[in-house]
Amino acid sequence: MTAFFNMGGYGIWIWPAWGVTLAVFLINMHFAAREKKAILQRIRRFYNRSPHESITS
Amino acid sequence: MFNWLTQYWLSPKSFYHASGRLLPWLAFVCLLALGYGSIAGLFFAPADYQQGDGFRIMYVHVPSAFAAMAVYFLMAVSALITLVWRVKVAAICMSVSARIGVWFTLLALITGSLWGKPMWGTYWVWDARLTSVLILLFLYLGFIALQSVITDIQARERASAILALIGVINLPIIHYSVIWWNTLHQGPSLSAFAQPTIAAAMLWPLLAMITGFLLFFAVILLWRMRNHILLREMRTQWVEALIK
Amino acid sequence: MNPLRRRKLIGIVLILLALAAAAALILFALRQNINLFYTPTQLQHAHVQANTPVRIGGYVQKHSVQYDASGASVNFAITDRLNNLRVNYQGVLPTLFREGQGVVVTGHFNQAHQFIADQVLAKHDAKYMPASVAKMLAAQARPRT
Repeated sequence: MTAFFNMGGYGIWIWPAWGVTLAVFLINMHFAAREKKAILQRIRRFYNRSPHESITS
Repeated sequence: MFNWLTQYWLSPKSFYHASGRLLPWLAFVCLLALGYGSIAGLFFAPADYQQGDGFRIMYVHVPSAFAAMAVYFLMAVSALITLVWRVKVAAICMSVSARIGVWFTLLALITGSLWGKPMWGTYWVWDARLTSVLILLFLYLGFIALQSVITDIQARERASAILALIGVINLPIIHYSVIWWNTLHQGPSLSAFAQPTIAAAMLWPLLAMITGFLLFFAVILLWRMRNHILLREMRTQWVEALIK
Repeated sequence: MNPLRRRKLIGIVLILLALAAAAALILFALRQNINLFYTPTQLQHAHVQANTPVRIGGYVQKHSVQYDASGASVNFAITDRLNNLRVNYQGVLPTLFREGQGVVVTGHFNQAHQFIADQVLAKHDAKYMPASVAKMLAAQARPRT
């Protein structure tokens, strides 16, 4: 197990590289989810406030 | 034909529904590809004859560099469609692509320098390949900055689309930099026209990772495009019906 | 396609072609500056003054690596298979440094026309294979006598 993480001495380079990749993937998913929540909230607020006068495009 | 495409398939509403059906499948295949690629790349691919286990950084570096360029290409194509045909979905695709592509570019640079230090002996060198990828990062950042300072939607999309198209010249420069000039970076290891110089047991996980990265991009792209479509079409009846 | 769109499309394509041509000319004019290093052959045509920093790239010539008695400094030849250049270096060599390997060295010529390197970087090629395959290939390549 230790040998696997050590990766022939290259572990200190490999794991940060894979770790930062995982972090970037998670950040992108988080941003997309947060954006969805914010936009849905904004649209709901829009419809709750304004009486029905929606414009059809 | 094109009118049918733009009016039906590329109308925000039908795009929203079609992408919603497609998304779970894309996410599923993406998970499979990344799962196989990571496990095979980290555990099963044999160590390289020169770089030992150090070459395993390739499995995150090459896909992120490839995705950084592929995303820019998609962004430039969307920019062209935005400028000439004024397709709303294309403009949204362009804007969202930039905000994902910038991450892949950053990732390619970081993983590249983590690979460069043990193998070359340096984190960074100003050779043509590394410099042109750094320019790609600045093109993405410039695009995002330009979009954030123009408030009018029409003007914002036109100006940023022009910037995206100008930057497309950098793509062939990145690709051919290692051939045209003396660089520290090695030549291309994957090419559509030549025998790969990577042994099969190392190549399959790489191809899986590249597929996985591109699918991951597709998933985030559609996810965020759907958000922006809802926002843009906020006042239409179909969004109102969807919300209630 | 309607005429307005066609005009727009042609305009954009023409602008991009002009930009590509401009970029190509600039890159062509700057080609010596964009090259990261000189090869030993290119170096003969470039008139490099003593004590000016210069980068040279090539392969470490076989059987040319000599460590001095203290082990602190190393002397080896860089070759591009046409010309050679001897390099003196004091410091830590990258793991990939070995005979036959591509290297890029940064340094300067001293007054005695010896090249003194400050940095040695290893270049690797785009070939990846398992060690066992490499050993097999090397065995096959060895001439049978």
